[in-house]
Amino acid sequence: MAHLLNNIHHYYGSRLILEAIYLKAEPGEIVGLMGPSGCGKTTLLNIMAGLLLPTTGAVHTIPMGLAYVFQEPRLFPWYTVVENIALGLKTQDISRQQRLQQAHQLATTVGLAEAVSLYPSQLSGGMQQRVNLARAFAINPQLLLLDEPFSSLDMGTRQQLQQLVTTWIQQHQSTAILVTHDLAEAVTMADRLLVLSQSPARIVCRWRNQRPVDQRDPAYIYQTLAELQTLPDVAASFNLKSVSLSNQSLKF
Amino acid sequence: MLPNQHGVFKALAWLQSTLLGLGTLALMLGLWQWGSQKYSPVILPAPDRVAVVLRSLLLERRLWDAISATTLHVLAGFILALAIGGLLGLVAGRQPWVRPALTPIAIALLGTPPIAWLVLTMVWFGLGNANSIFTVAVTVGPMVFAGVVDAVTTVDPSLLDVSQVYQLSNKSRFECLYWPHLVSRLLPVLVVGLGLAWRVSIMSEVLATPTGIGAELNTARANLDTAEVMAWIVITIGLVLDSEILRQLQRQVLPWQQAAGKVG
Repeated sequence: MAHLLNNIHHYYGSRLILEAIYLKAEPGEIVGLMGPSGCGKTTLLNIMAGLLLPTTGAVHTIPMGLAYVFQEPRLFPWYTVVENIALGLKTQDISRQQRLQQAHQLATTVGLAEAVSLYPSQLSGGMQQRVNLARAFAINPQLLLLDEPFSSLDMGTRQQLQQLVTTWIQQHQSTAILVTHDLAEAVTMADRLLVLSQSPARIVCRWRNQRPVDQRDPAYIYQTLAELQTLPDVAASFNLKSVSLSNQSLKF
Repeated sequence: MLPNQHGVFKALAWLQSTLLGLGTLALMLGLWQWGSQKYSPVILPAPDRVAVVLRSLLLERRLWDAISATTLHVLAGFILALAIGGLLGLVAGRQPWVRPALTPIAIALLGTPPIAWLVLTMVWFGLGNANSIFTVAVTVGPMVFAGVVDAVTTVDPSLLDVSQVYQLSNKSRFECLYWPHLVSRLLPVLVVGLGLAWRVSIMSEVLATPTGIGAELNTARANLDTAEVMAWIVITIGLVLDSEILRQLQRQVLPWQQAAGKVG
C-alpha cells in the first residue's frame, strides 16, 4: 500500500471543503479522482503532496518518492528540456553528467529527443507537458500525482501521453492518483474511480474498472461511460440530466 | 524554408540593418561637415579637426588618468548603490511591512533629477570626488532597490511548489530557483544602471569634481577649445558603448530570454 488518506477534513477559513476523505491505493494501480469544478480535487492532491496540511486527518506516506504532474507544466524557464527533466535527480547522489544522461534517455522516452536543448518558451503546450511528465518519471516515484495533466492538449497528444503514463505505471508498479474532468479518460486509464460530490466534497461513488488497461477498447469505454452516467451519485455530482439506457440507446 | 534559405535571409537582414546604420552615421557626418562650414570653429569645428585632436588625446596620459578617475567614481558609487539599495530591497522584499515605509522614499529619489543632487552635494561636500560618487549612488540606488524588491516578490510560487515536491535542498533551491530568478530580474536593471552611472558621473565631474572626463570637458570648454570638447564627447560615447557589451553579456547569461520561435 503506497499511500493512505485517513479521515481528511479540510477547511478554507470557515468553509468545509473536504469531508471525511479516505483513500487507499495499491502498487501498479491508477486511481481516478473526479468531481465537479471547484470541489477540492486539487486541494486533495496538494494535501497528498505535502504542499498543504489538512485541517484534520492523517496523511500517511511512505517516503519512497513522490512526483506531481501539475496541470500547468511549471517548468523552470532558465533550464533546457534536459535540465528540467533532471531537476528531481539533484537529490540523488549521482553526478551532473549521470543526471543529464538519465534525463536524455527519458526525453527520448517521451518523444523529445530532438528538443533536449530547447527552452520552455520554445516548446508547444504538448511538449511542455511531456517534459513535466518526464521530470516526474525521472525520480522513479512510488506515488505519481496527476492533476488534469492532459486537459489542454489535443486528442492525439492526449492519447499518446495517456499511453505513456499507463505503460510506465505497469512497468514500474507505482501508484498513480489521476484527477480528471474527462470521464472517458478516467475509464481509459483508471483501475478505480472515486467520484467526489459538490462542496463540501465527500466520496459519493467508488467504481472499479472491470477490464485491465490493455483490454479497454473504445467500445468498452463508451459503454462504460454511458453506464457510469446512469449512476445517481455520479449524475448528482455533475448535475447531469437523468439518463436511462434502453435498448442500447440514451434518452434525456 | 530550407536551412540555407533561412541563413541567407538572416544575412540579408543583418546587411540591411548595418547599411542603414552606417548610412545614418554618414548622413550625420555630412551634416556636421556642412554645419562646420557655415559656423566658426569655436561653435562647430570640422570633423577632421576633431579627429586630429582625438588622435592626439589617445596618446596622452591625461586621457587615461581621466578615464581612471571617472571609472573610480562610477564603480564606487555603483557599489554603494548595490550595497544599500540591494540590502534595503532584500529587507523590503522579505518583510512586507517594510515595503510601504521605504517605497515612497525610493519613488521620491527616482523622481529627483541628478543635477538637483549635484547642487546639494556641492554645498555638502564642496568640490571633490565625493560629489560624483554620492550622485551616482543616490541616482542608481533606488533603481537597485526597486529591482531587488521586484526580484524577491516575484519568485513564482508554483515553482516553489515544484521545488518542495521534488524535495530540493536549500542549496539546490537557491541554485535552481532563487539565483537564476534574481539574475534574470536584476541583470537588466544593473546594465541600465551602469550606463546611467557613467552619464551621471561625467555630469557631476563637469560641475563639481576636479578629476575625470567631465572635468576635462569643463577645462576644454573654459579654453573655448570646442574641438577638444567634441573629442571628449566621442570618447565618452565610446566608453558608454560598453553598456552595449554588457547587453551582449546579458544575452549570454540569460539565453533563455532571447530564445525565440516555438517548435512543435
